[in-house]
Parts: sequence; structure tokens; C-alpha cells
Amino acid sequence: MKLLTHNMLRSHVTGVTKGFPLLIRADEVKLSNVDFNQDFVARMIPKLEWGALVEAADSLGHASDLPRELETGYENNEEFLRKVHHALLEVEVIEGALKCPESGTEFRITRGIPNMLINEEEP
Amino acid sequence: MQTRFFCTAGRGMERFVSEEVTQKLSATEVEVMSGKVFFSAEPDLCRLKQLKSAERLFLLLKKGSPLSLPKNKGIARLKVNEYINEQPQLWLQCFAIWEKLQEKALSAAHGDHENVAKRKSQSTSYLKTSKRSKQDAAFESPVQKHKNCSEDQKVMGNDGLNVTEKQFVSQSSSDPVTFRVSCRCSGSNAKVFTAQELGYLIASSLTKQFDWKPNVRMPILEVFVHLNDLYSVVGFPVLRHPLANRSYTRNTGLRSTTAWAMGSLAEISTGALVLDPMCGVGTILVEAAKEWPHGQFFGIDIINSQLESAVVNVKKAGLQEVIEFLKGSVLDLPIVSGSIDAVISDIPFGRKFMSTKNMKELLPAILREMERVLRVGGVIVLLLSQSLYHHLKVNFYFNGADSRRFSIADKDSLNTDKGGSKEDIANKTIWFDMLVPLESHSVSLGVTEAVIFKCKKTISSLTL
Repeated sequence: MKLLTHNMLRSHVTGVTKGFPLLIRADEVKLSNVDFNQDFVARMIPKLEWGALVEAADSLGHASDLPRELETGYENNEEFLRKVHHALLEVEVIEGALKCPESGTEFRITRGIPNMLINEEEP
Repeated sequence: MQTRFFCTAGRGMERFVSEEVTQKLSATEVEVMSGKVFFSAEPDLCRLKQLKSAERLFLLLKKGSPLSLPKNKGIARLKVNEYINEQPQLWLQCFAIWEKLQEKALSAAHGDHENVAKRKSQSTSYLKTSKRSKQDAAFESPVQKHKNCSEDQKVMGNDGLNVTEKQFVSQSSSDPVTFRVSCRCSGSNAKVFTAQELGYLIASSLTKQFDWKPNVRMPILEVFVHLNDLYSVVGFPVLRHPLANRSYTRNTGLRSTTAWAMGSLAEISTGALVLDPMCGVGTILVEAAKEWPHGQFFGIDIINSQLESAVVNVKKAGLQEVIEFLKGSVLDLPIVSGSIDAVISDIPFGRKFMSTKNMKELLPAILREMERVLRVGGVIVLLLSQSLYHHLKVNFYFNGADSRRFSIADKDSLNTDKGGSKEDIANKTIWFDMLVPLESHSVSLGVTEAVIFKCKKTISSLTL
């Protein structure tokens, strides 16, 4: 699971109102090299919950001094975009769990795939 | 130089093919007939191989009015002979272009001509020693299509190229042309001759005319003849394998051409977030990500074995970087509202769905979830069975101007709406105030007929 994916994930446990962002517990993290596409990253940033990304990257120790607040004019700041690229696409949680911030429900991550089913016994 | 080609296409896919040849090949004189698309384009194999919506690609030899064979077999035989022999120079010209196409593919892939020449001489000697293994290789080895030729070379290795090379070499070393005829015959002509009889007739005619040698198992050239009540067509397949056979997938899911067509409607731009919430083995995502690699793709499925196959398929296609998978349910997506740019999905046709509930009952809840996760301006592209599409058309009310229900498209009202959908089912009218239907296309999936349906999320009509 990349942090880009994490940024889209929410817990949908009954009674939970926001269920976002999910807390990450990582047992195994993989770093990979992904080709940098400046346009891709610049267009992705407005779609992100910025704070959630920084928090998630930080919790894995890969925030690489990303600012807590998004600064204006980032579209042309290549150095900054490269850092975002790294956090979004190159840090992958292979084994671990996601935890709902409200209910505390845990979702296992196995071989990079989070199991988001609330009750495995369901159909 | 413009050359005349045609593609065969699945029923309903013709419009996608005609759009694709126009866009990718700058094709002119595009002419659409049922199951075929004719066009003129540069004889550039690299670009021709990029076509994704067609089944097979042919060099057109001739196309004309139907042959309408007389009932008398003897006279009919003469007429077929005449049809084949009337313009011998046309056959030789077409064959020369076909040969050149094979040659071009070869030199483009190898980069320089010197190298080609060197390899040629090597494979000539190879040919003499082991003709039999050459032939086997020629048939089994895939002729592939890729984004560009250099990638072709990298990804495919040299197998596919060597085949073309060997064929070509065996040709230039003055062996006779070996060929076989693939004949399709329907309508009134089919009452006079079977396709096999016709194929045999045409083959013997060509043998006499050009001294070509029939070879059913391992021919250099395939001659494709299609005679029906509307037209008669002769062409040479440009590639040994159908365009629809992807080098990067084992094709266990949906037909590759249909999956590609769905992706082509999804408006995937750089940085787009694309979701298939019932991804199965990931066929749609793989087709879309191969063609539009600058998006980020998510696949969700509830079945472990499907996800496992999907991961294998994505790895095989080299798309691990852009496609991610989650285990979850389409009825309760673990995705933040308003975050996705495009949802593409093949709605299961009932029998294999995991729930005992009827798909007609589940569809509103599924579509509601898709609508929820989609951002305003995002699109949904679905593949539905014809009966399910009919059900949707009759019972679903899109972007209606009715006064009732929730007011504004915020997340909370959407949740309220989700709860209310059960009551809607009872009323037999299901409301999707924020979805505007854009287009639908009937496509054939072989035995079954289906519909590709596209809609776009807007702000609720009630707020306008």
C-alpha cells in the first residue's frame, strides 16, 4: 500500500463519522524507485488531504521534512515535488495494519494489500 | 505513402476502432461496416500495432460488391476463378507491400540495417539446418504490439522479431511463397459452396496463377477472403496474431478490446485517480493503465483468489507502480467521498456474483457508492448486461428535476441518501440526482450482448 492509496482510504465501521485518516502500523516497509513525473505530482497534490499525507509519512519515518502546511507556488518547486513524489509513491507498506481513528478497528495489510472488510465472515 | 487497411472488430466495437485509427494513425477514408473498419494510413507497423480496440489487422487487397455466385457449381467455379485472377498485378503489389511491412518492422526494431543484414545471413544458414523448428517457432511465437518499437524490443526480447525475420529471409532466398486461404462465406454464396470448398478453389486458383504453394500448417502468407451478401473482401493479415491478444496479459477476464474501450471513455488524464471497485483479475485496470499510464489506478475485490490473480497480471504487465489493490466490498467502499476521478467497472452478470441477492436489487446501492466516491466532474463507465441496462433505463431516474429529497451534494446528505435508497427500491424509482447519463454502446461479448454505459457526476440539479 502506497501512501497515495492511504490518502484515499477511510474506515466505514458503523457509527464512525469520518474514519479518516487511518493510523498506520507498519511491520514491513518497502522503498522502491518510481520514475518522477512532475506534472503527475503537481496535479495530485490538490486532490490530497495534505495533513494526512505528512502525518502518515512521518509515522513511517519518511516525511523528509515535508511542511505541515502546503505552501503556494509548489507547482514549480521541483525539489519539493520530488519529496512529495517519494512519500506518495515510493514508500510502500507491505505488512502491517491500518487502524480506524475512532473505533480502533484494525485492518490487516498483507503482501501490500489492505483488507478493508469489516467482518471477514461476511459474504 | 497511404496504404489501405482494414480491421475486424467485435460487434458494437466498430465506432471505437474508427475513432482509434483516426486518432492514432491519422487514418483517412475511414469506412465502417458491420464487423469491419476500412481505412487508409501510413504503412507504419509500429503505430499499427498500437491499435487496441480491433480484433485483427489486414492489408486490403480488394473490396467490392458481393460476388453473388450462380447456383450452377461449374459456372460458380469459373466465377470464383475469375474473381481471383482478374487483376494479378494487384495481388503481386499487395504482396510486395505486405513483405515490405514485415521488413520495416524488422529494421525499425533492430535500429540499423547493417545489423539486419548480418542477422539475415545468420538465420539463412540456420534455416537450412533446421527448417522444422523454424516453422514451429514461426507459429507459436507471438507478434506483439507495444507503445513503441524500442519498448517492443526490450520487453519482448528477440523471439517475435526473429520470426518475422526468418519468414522474410526464407522468402528472399527464392523459396516459393507458401500460403493458405482462410475463407468466410455467408448469405447466398454459402448455399453454393461451403467456406472450405471456396477456400480450396481459391487456393488452387492462386497456385496456378502465381506458382505459390499451399501450406495449411505453416504458411508464410495467409489470404483472408470474406464473401457475404453485402460485399466481398480479400486481404492479408499484417500480424500473425490478433491485435486483441495482448502480450502483457493472459486474458482471463473480460475481452481486452471491450476493456480498452471502457478505459477510452473514462477521460483519464495525468494524475487521474481511477477505481475499479469489482476489479476481478484486473483486466480493465491493466488495459487502461497500459494506454493511459499517467493516472493512478485502484482495484477493489472481495475475493482473495481474484486479487491474487490480479496481482500476477499487473506484475506481468509491468504496471505494479500504477495499480494498487484493496480487499473490500463494492457495497461499502473504503474510499473517501469525492476523491475518485473515474470509476470503471464490469458489473457481473448475475450468476457469478457473490451474493444471493439479485443484481437488479444490488445495482442501486452499487451505483450509489460509486457516485459517492466520485468527485464532481468525474465519470462512471459500466459494462452491464442488456437486461440490467434495460432495468436501469426504466427504473433509474438520472439527474431528475424533482423537488423532493436531499438538497446539497455534501457528504452528510449523501449518507442520508444511501439510507433512503431501500425505500426507493420499494417505489421502483431510484434517483441519481447527481449523475448525468452521457452515452451508451451495445457491444457483443461473444455469446452475450452487453452495454457500455457512461455517466458523469455533476452537482445536484436541485441546487441549480
